[in-house]
Amino acid sequence: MSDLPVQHPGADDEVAELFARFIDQQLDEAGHQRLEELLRQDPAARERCAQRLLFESDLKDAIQPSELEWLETRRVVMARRDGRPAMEIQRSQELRVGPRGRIEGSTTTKKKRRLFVVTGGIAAVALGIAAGFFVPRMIHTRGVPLLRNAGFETTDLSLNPTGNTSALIDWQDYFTSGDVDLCEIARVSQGKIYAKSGRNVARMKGGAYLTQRLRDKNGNPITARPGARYLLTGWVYTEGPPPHILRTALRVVASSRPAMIQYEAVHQQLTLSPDPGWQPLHIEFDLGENLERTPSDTMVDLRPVLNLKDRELTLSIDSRGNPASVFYLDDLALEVNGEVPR
Amino acid sequence: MAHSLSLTNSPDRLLAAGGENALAGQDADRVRRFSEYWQLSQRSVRAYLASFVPDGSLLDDCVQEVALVAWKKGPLEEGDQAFLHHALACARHIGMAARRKFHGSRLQLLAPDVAESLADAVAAQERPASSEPTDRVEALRHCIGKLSPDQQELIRMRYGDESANALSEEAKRAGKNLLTLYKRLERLRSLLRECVTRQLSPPA
Repeated sequence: MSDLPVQHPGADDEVAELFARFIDQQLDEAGHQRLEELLRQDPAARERCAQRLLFESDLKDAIQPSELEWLETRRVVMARRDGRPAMEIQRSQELRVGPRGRIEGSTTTKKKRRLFVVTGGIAAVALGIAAGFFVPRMIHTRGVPLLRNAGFETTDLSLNPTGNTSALIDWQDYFTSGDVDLCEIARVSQGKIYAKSGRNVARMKGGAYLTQRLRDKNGNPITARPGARYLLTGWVYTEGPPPHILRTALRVVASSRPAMIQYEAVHQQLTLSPDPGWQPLHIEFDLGENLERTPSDTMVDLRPVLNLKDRELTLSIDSRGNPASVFYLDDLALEVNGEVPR
Repeated sequence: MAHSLSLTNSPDRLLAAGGENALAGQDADRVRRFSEYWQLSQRSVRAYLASFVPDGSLLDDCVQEVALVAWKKGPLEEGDQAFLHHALACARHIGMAARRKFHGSRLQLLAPDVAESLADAVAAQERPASSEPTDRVEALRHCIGKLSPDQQELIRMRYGDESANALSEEAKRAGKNLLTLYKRLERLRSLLRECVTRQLSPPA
């Protein structure tokens, strides 16, 4: 038994009763309208309900207190560059706020949307040590691709009335496709599909394509090197009639439209399951030792052979299946598979 | 990866020896200040947002989004009042955006004008105070501790990390009407409000 008194204060207060049912989402339509009417007309009723919301907030905090967690990790790499000793220090920081259950469950990428990571930053310090003085040296970054807008969250669609836009930042380099858009998928699909993380995904209809010029974290281009291998990962969701065919490639764009000439360093084609749900994407690219190629996609008659070595690479993702099939992409990443190409 | 508020800041690059330590010091101070202000403000932020969206994971997400913006853009140099003011302004935008997102769903939402006036009433009542939130929540925990185990469990089902359907599952399990369970819950909340008021009132 409770030690507290058992009377029910405020039972005759209509606003209190209606608002309690509203808070629990148990109010019927007539009650809802009455509550809105009372709140519109009576400032005192608004005050009581405001106090009630503050009490609810206290209750939540009493039962499931919010915590703040600051994580900091450091990675120190020492090596030689150009014959001189060099050191790189990377520091990453994350601030997490929320109930402990959310924080502890937030270690996987999948849960990033729901957790409460406030920020993460990377501070990198490159200190070359030579002849008694410090010279900045950045290592392990050149040649390592870093996809930009890989989670498709760069654009805020929260104020966008339709929840989608044809502007896909960083994914329309060289070419623009009218069959692809960025969308806040939970809103656009009316709650049927949720993003793998965050809110946005790229939606590709049949024939759509995404392209991104590859850069490292310092903005330097990633160029084709003999023997280079890369791994493309991410998540894909299929919808509509199969087959769902995704064609991915690392290309060199020699010329854009109208006189388009592209050379494909490597490509991989996947036929994806039509089952609903997010499927992991895992695609390995091996450029091979010989980088001489004939054009793969052209709009002109010229088809000269080209050695792609040291030429800038572009990642292409094309929808090549049923014209009515749809892909949703989220959380893409491209990394070096094995040794960093020199 | 949320609402275009990136989860990661732009990388800070330090090119001078010793700079990392300086940044760590600034970071530590910023974290400490944010933590202090957020603790003082989160009650108001949650209540304010609850005017726009119903309690549950949607409200939790909105609270977190507000904290994200407050961390990235909050006026941490201008004191707790300015921080709260900024956080509530963010909450208004985020709450309204969440409403638009779930417009037409089965969620019970107050009409926009009513939600906004209720949120204003919350803002008018709340100002951060150095020790009050802690006292209030501690008093509430004390009062919850006075409830019977069954009553405590009911409160936990509603406000803890249970599934959204915990109460309806409990109603099914116990063979009770869900409405009856909610009425019992409301009685408990009334008792707790009274108990907290008594706890925080100075002895006569």
